Amino acid sequence: VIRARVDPDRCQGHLRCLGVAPGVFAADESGHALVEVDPVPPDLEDAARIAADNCPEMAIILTEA
Amino acid sequence: MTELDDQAFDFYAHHWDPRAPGEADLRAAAIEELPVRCPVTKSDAYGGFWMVSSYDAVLGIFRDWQSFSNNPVRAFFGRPAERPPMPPIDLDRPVQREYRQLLDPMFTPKRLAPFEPGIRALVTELIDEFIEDGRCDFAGQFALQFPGRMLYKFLFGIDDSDVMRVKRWTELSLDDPHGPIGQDAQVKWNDWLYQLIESRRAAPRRDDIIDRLLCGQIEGRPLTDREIVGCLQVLILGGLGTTADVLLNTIIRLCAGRELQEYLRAHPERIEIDEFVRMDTPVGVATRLCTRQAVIEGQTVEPGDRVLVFSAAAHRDPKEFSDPNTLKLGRSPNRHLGFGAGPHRCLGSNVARLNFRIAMEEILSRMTDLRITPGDAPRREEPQALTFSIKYLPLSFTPGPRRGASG
Repeated sequence: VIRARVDPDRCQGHLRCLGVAPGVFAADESGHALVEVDPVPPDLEDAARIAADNCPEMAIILTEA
Repeated sequence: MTELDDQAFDFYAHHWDPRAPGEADLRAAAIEELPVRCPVTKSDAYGGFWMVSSYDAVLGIFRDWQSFSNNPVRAFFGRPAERPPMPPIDLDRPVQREYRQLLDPMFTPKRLAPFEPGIRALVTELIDEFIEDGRCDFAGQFALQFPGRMLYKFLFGIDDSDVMRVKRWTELSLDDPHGPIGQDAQVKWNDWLYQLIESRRAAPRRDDIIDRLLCGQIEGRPLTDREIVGCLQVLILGGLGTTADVLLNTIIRLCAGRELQEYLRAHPERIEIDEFVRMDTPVGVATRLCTRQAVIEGQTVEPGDRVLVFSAAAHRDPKEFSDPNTLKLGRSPNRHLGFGAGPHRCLGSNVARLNFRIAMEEILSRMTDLRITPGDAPRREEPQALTFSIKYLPLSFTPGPRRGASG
């Protein structure tokens, strides 16, 4: 199982994760990323990994639980 | 790839003047070599400044707002400030953060989504103007029209009748900031903005960007008119040349790479701004002022030192991007810094994404067999430190029918 977290101190609202993994990440009212589904559904794990790899702020933390 | 000879490389490594005319071709070669050959160097132009080209260092500077200030950077290139500081880009945290807290909520994908049909109608109208001809100047007739009209109409709610007039002032003040025409346009543009906020102050609330600024507070007090005008100006200036540049450069790449053009036409869901912004970065450099001692790639930078952050070169750093000089649609990872990083991340990045997607969808579906008009060529203006504007792009394509309501 993969658990996803967005570090709010690092996230600057690029929202690249929303483009790559819209089922996992969403934007809050200020346009910063938040995790919508945790743990990540198995069929969205790859998308979540791509989102983490593409975050310019390295704000997405995935942990295998 | 054009290799730089030693003399050209020495110029880039030690004497580069980002505003020197006629260096566009050299720069194209330099961004491929700088991150590898000299990730940090000092140019003696403009009294000396550091130039940083490696991906890790550029990202580090963008993020480290405590060591690298955005204010004051206007005088970086030896000229006096062209205008009063514009919040929030010319400010540092913590005040800058208050501005962003006011403005960020207005630029979320959710807030922008309702504009999509109107933006598509605007794009349709612009393409209608030349679709029957089979040729156009894509710069003058589209890329330099669309972002300004979109911003004024949708983000600021300005009537069509005013938009063209105001957009013209904006362009003139950008094109010729120190000449009499540009300065006259700046005065008119300023006056118009002050009148706009005055009339909006008395009007019913609309819950839009202008209202956020009119009703918001910074450091526990309302914003002054000057601060509001500065904010509106930076929002407009930030969206014009940048959006135009990425559209123009993308079209040039699609003309050169016919397979890519056909692929995107067949797979519009694969349209993405990120790889195009990485390859042809509209805001390829940023400036910072060092405010406390810091170490960049082993070099000690002292308070008071000026730093030119060369993100266009960082985008070609092989330590971050595999095969960095090749355009790869859907590249992953692609942690490009085309929208900056850290506290000053481009406020309008979601607007850019939306505009780019809609424009490319309509262009690719309506204008088939896109090519640079034979016997003609794009024209670039002399480089202006921050962007690389194309002012003329002659395109030919298969003619098609008009589509708009008035067509």
